[in-house]
Amino acid sequence: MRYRSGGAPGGVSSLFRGGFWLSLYCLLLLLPILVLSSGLGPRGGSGWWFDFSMGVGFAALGIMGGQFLLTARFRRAMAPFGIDVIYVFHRWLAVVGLILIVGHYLILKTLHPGALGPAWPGAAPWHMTAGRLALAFFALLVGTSLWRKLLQLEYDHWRLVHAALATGAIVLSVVHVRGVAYYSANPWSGFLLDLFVATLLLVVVHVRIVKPLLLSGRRWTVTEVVRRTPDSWSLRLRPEAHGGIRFQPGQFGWLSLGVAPWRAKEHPFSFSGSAERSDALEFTIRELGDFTSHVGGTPEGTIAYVDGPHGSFSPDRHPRASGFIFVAGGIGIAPIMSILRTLADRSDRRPCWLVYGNRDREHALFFEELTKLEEALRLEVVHVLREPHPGWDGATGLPDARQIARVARDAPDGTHCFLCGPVPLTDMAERALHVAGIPLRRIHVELFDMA
Amino acid sequence: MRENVAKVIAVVIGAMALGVAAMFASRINAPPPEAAAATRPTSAPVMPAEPVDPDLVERGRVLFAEQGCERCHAVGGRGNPRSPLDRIGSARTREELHDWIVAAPTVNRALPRSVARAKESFAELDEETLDALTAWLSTLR
Repeated sequence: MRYRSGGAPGGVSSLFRGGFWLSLYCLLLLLPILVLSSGLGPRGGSGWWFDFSMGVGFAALGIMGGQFLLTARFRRAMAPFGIDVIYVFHRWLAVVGLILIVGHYLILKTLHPGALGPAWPGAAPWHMTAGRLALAFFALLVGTSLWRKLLQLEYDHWRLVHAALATGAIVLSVVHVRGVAYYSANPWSGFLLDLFVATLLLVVVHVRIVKPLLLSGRRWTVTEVVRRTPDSWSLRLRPEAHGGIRFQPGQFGWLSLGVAPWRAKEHPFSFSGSAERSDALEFTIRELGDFTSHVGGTPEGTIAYVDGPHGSFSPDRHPRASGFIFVAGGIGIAPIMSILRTLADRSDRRPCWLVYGNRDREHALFFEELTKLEEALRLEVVHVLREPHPGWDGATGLPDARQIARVARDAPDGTHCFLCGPVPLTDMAERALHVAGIPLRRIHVELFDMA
Repeated sequence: MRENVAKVIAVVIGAMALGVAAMFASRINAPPPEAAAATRPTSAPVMPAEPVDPDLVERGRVLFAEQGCERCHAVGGRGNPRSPLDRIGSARTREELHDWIVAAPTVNRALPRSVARAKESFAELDEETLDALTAWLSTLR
């Protein structure tokens, strides 16, 4: 299963850092419209609703342009939040931006239809056609992202279409604003628009050129492909003439397998190996369609590139934690396995519990290794099987609130919880842990399968 | 929980955007301070009304809509309120109106480049059409 990992920010300094980046981001988004409103902008209105519509249009452009920053994977800025939640935010903000753009258009359509002129491109000025096309592009962009699976769009194709539509929509919007030119006579707004376009260009150059260039110098080779269960595989990677990646257990990377980083055919997977071993990386992947279905057939020696580490779903961010409760479902064990292996390598003596749900014994990843880890660590594993085999004397069904409450009762104050798996499971576990008295700030949920 | 926080922040940013847009609309449409309004001339020099052929005026009114002038100009609240022409007949002679329509060299520099370019295309209109347009505009007082 592909997923993006993350976790709640830990500590006051992280909260401040998060607040700083969020404030900076909001300021950037609203800067053009703030300058227009401040008195530096044009004078002489055209009616409240007309100018409100223009303001909404500018704000929407700021919001949609800012989306490029959100997905550029700036590690320092993303760290306080966890990149997984940034993708959730990206998705919701796109919906908000689209509503504003539609509002901008509808106000004019209703109150000042003459200002819009004819819709037919042959009769309309080019900059108005650009505006209409931008609206259509934005609507397509949001639609194909919210309903990608319903539309059966393959992930790699969707990414390409997404990047093309996003760039096209922004270019068309800027052409529209430049062509309408209501405020371009004002040097401030003209300058800000140029600055805005230049910033987006820099981000695109960073993501599409600089980053792949840096990544291409850090090659990895697939050394081993291990079948873990009938539909899950672990890929082991060795760094080629570089020092590998230092990561925190629970983090993830974007993996390009057999293709150069330029091709943008990368998929996010958690590291499942120990963070104490920088000479090797391990990803554990379940076959769930498209790219993941072919992972098992990867020949040894295949070249790979890894963009990472990303995410903040890691106990290393909470060094004062007095113990850990893990709740995993299926492939959600991957980042937790990385955490447990790392804790074992560090001879960590803090108490740990793992509630781990699977279909059956055959599909339970790392079953034997978890038994060994119970000895190496102060770890108790509660396996829960939906379809238990005859003779299974463990828990059956789905992991439930009762099992989690029991574990929470035994855990000392200051225990941090890490949840990774299907949303119904993590939702249930989050509620159960909170009811058992664990504050939400100590419950870290992995939000996966965002794409 | 974090998903919900992300949703709330996205909605708050949308609300902030609406708020700032409303602030912008209010500021730019605020009536001028009374003192400034008192010293400001009420309008440009008033042009004496010239007698014009009513048929030509009517043709001009129709042509104004046909030629897409409403994309940039409003008359009587119809069209683009950015550049209203409701009293333009009092402020400009018909010759001046002609020059403004086609962005003649006399006014070209006063216009933003994109606006001048858009207007220059009207220089291709025949004189009869331009005559009808200026006739109608000169009646807007």
